Amino acid sequence: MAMLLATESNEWAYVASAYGLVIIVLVAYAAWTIARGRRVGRQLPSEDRRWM
Amino acid sequence: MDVTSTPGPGGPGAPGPDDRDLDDGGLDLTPRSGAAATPRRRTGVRRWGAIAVLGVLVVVVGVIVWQAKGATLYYKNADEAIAQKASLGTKTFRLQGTVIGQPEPGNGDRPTVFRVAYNGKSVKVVHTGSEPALFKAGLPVVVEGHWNTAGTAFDSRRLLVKHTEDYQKQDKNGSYEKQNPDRVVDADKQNESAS
Amino acid sequence: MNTDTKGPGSGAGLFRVYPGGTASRGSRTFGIVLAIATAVFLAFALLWSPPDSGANASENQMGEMVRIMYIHVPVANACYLAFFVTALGSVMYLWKKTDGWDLLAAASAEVGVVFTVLTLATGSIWGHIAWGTWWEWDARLTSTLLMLVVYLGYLALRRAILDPVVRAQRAAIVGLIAFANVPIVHYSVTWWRGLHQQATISRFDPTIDGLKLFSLLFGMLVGVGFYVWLMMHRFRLEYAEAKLESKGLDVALAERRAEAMADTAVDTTGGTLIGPKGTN
Repeated sequence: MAMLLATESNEWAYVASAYGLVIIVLVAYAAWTIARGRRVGRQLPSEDRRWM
Repeated sequence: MDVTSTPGPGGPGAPGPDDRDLDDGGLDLTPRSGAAATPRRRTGVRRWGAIAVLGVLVVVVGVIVWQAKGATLYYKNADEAIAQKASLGTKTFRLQGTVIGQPEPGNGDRPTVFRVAYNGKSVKVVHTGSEPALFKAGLPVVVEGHWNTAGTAFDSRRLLVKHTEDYQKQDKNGSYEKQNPDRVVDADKQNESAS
Repeated sequence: MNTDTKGPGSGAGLFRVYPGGTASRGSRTFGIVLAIATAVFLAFALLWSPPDSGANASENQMGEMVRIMYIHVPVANACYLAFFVTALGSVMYLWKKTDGWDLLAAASAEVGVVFTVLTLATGSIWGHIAWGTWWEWDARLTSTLLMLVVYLGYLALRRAILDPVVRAQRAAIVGLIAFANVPIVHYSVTWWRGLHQQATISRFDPTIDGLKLFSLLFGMLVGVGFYVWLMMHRFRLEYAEAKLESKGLDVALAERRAEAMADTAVDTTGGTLIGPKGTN
């Protein structure tokens, strides 16, 4: 039983690392994209901010 | 042509870069070097950095394609391994088959022993090394190793589980009973006689 | 330097870069919906769906590790979608020659690369616990890695070409050729022998049901939602960068024109015969 529990917690560690990795990477990428957007947006004259 | 006739920037229908010949009054569009080009240096670094990355990526693609030659015939099935036993000798290859019967677990120096089957043929596997968590009877595995010198068993150094794509419960919608009606009836009869 | 600090106005809100950056009312609203959907998805994937063990287990009896699939498949699906949009943008650019399609293709390729990295990473975690290996030169894994490298090459190519028109033209051709690998990735598990399992849901008789199937499908929906939300920001950024780039070119051209004008003025007043080349 102790061995079974150890295996189960090991499985959860892998599950948590997969979900954690995806969430961290997506949030970091979104933050980086938004930060780049703010930097470029500040340099852009207002008449060029419109698309279509 | 008079240079003053060059359309000004932003005017209606303003063309892109003036690519007329210089002698015809066109603009000098050759890239500047030296101190005048300082603001554009970042673009240059970015460009050459990207070209270097492209070079590295071409090498990486070459390595991947070289590796892919092995990926197209990743393993031999158990029946093929038996049929080609003579030509394979003790050469290292990967063998695939479903684990039949309960594996004899090893510990320390003693290897794990089990049989894998494919297409009606089975091979005895003697595995030394670690086993994945999913390793169990009934699941397909891929083992890496070679036939032993006598050709009686496959000596494995690496054991990988090739699980199936089936995530439904094993006995789905009573299909087991439909396929094997006698067993259920027999079991019920046995239960009735026992009670 | 721009000092306009007006907030979001009326008009095509989706295609607008605001002073504050790439966010708009639409992207914020969608972001909130997506955050709620993600929370619900996590509850289904990690709590409410059953483990693959006990009476309802499949023949694989994967236990808790089956939950990795609910996130691995959606990120893989999102990278297919991203590269499809890149191919679509490339075709449309070659046909229509309008900048917007080129920008769409470029933005989608970058988002696709992020999803491909996540596909390989989550797949590797799965591989280590389920198969017993972090990496294997199996057909699906090899072709996915090739796909990642090819699209990294697409992004590097875009940075290596400075002329926007030449860049768009060549990137569109590469974006189109690169997509040829995507069906190969998908069908690699059918065409070649490998460790990776075959299709579970993209078949006539899906081999998954109940809450497991729901978690997987809901995860795929959230994955597509993340792709769309990231694209709202990434496309606007691509547009803003392109605008800024052409502005930079305009400024450089204006400088050269000014120089040329000055030189011509010297020529006429000084009576020399040198042209507007400005050989000073």
